Amino acid sequence: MRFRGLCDVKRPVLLRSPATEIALRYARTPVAAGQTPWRLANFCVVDLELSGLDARRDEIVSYAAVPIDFGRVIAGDTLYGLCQPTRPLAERSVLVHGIRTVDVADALPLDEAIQPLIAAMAGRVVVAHVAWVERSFLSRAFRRQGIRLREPVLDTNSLGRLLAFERETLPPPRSLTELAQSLNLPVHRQHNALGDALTTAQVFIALATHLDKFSLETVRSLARADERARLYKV
Amino acid sequence: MTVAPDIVEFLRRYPPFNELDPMAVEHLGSAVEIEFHPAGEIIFSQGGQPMEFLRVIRAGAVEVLNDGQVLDLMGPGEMFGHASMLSGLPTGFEARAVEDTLTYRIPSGVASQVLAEPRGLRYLARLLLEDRHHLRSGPRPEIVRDQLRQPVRGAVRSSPVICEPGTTLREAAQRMTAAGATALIVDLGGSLGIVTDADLRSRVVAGGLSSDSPVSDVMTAPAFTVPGERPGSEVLLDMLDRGVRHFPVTSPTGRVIGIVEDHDLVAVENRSSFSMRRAVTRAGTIEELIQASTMLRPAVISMTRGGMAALDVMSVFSVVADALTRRALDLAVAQAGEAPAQFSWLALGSQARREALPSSDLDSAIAWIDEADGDEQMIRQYLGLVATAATDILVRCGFRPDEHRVSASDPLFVRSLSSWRQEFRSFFDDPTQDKALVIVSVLVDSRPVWGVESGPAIADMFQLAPSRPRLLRLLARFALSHKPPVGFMGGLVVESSGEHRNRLDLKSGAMAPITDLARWAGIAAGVACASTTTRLSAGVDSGILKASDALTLQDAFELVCQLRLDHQVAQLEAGVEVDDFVDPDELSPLIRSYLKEAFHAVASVQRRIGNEIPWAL
Repeated sequence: MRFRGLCDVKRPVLLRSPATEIALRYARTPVAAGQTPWRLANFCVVDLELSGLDARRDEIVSYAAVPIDFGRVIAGDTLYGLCQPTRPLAERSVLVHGIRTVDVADALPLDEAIQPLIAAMAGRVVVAHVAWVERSFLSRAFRRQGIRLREPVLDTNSLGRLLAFERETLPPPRSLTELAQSLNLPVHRQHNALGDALTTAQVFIALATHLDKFSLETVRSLARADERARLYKV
Repeated sequence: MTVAPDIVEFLRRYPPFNELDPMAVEHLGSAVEIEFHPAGEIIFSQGGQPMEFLRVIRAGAVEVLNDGQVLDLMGPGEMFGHASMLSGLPTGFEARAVEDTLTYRIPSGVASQVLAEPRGLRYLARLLLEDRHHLRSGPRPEIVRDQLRQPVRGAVRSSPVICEPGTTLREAAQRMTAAGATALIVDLGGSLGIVTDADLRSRVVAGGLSSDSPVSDVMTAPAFTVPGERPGSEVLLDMLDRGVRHFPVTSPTGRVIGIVEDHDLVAVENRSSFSMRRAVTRAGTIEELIQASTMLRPAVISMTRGGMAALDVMSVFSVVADALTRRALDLAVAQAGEAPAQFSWLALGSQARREALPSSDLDSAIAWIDEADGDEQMIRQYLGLVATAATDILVRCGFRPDEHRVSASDPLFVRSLSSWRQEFRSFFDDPTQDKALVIVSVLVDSRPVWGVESGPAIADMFQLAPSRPRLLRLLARFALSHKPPVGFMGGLVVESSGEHRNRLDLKSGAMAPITDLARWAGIAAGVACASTTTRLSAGVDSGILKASDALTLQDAFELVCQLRLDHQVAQLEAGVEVDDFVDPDELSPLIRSYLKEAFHAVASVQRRIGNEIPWAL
């Protein structure tokens, strides 16, 4: 667990015979090496809407993916999908993302529903906001496919904190909306996976561009945002 | 794969996307790539490779720079890079993010296809015409911040200096100096007087008036005032027309907000029209007048290059042409001796509509006031002499002799007022008479510029016209007889023979169908002599024209005027004779396709109106 977040730790992506062709392709497609300057790497921003935050009990309700190529958000190639949960959705979670049990009644179950997302993530470094949530849910879902979620998973929340330390504009923004606003960026539909993913994608290119001014950023250096931010706390 | 939300919605809020087919915008949205430019980043540099993208600002601000000088500042929803993208020319300016900026980048393949829709083209053509620096290579003029389009109150820079009539000139001068003002308002209780620094110089310093005299000795009263809501362009024309350079500006309640000066409205290089106006008024001999007139064409060049819109340049040109005509008549009358009858000189055609350009003929007519003892033979002889002399002076001032013989030196156009009136009554009663429609159409564009106190305006007789349906029908038919120069297959129709072979006639080909329709709509609405713009809006107000049709005609009119002016300015700069014939191949592809669209639109307005006019008499 202590190596999580470091991209140069070689761990097999293929765990066993993968469940689908798509999963196999994911496992065989490499992502940008750690020393790749961020503008030359391809990213996939992922946002999940969930029935709760506990990965052992709760489920993925909807997902969205937004690609970033060469520092640009490819707005026409985004992905959005719904997954049918195994249990009815608790009222508390419906209040957050607005997706009701009836809305997902016709959706495919997770293992099938997630295939397009796995395809979209192949060959791309994952970016998410408060990434431990996406990491834990995706890890479980991927393991069911016989594959391991590739590291690193970059976190815009950590990058936002790092920039706040670098710029000495504290305290760091507390939410995705605050972070986007602090960067003068638009906020898309909140608590909608696609809206949040798009906001996160824009936040990511802005943060990486700003951080580039302090030192040239690579995939690895961005992955180490938390570690770098901790240095400031001493 | 889906298009990210909000992007299409965002684009649809701004021109030209708001007018495009929704599916087309969806298509554009699917090609959007979002870019982030930190403050200070150069998005593209001047003179770089032709752009392969257009960009729309989503958040932030972008500066447009020419040789380091800021030309424009753009905000969310604004588009840039399209000029270079569509024209295939190097970028004409540098684009730099002023703030952290998010842009939507759309590749040319998708963008060009969508913007080639008529509505997209129309928007782009207007944009390119307005922001002339986008099109030109080489040194570009500073953009005139468009003071002329704005209410004049925006041009007032400081609060006015107001004094009593009894204030001494010394104190007045001190107060003006202290406030840095060039004019002072005298409160006359109910009306206003004005004293300018020029008055002080000429009357006090040079005229030997004591500085203890009251300001009322030198003021001009009552001063012309202008309401703050009037557009700058109208105020500028009033200034030129009256030869006054300062106007007190009033609020809706009549309070004086301040003083507006000519230079608050136009950039320095454009002020030559004022000095020229003065030189014209002061010209004591024909030679002096000709000398003064030589300033007119350079002024047209500098106004145009300074970014003034074509319609405004045409108005200023017409005002100065009026001034030259008046002075030419003063001189011609002085030469010919005492007039046997009072008469007024009528400007016709584009000069009457205040739409004259360097290529315009100054058409004219004369109406004399007939009295019982007048000897018509003698009067005609005298007026013939004056008309020939005045026309000769104007030709020497660089105006064209009239090719169509519509002029005051033609006896057909020299008549007594009662004869004009009789003729019109007869034409109104039987519009099928020989030449009736031609003469009616010519004379509705008439404006007295010289003679009997503001002159008898023949055009006023047209107030009767709306009650003559038969006349109106015939005039409509007559107006529809000019077709825009666009062929069945959609190509531009050029001259097939003669000196201007393969060229497009912008005046009688492109512009006449529009001005003819506007003239008819104006007559039907009870508006006689007026600009094409005024006639079109009067046509809408009285229900004769559909608002959308009037807009189409207005757009096409502005485009054609701009092209005529650009063409003639280029000819003036090259030192060749001005004309209205352009080679379509020399127009940019964008302008060419918009011109075609505009002609098609005019033709369809013509068809629509044609269908609504009953053909039976």
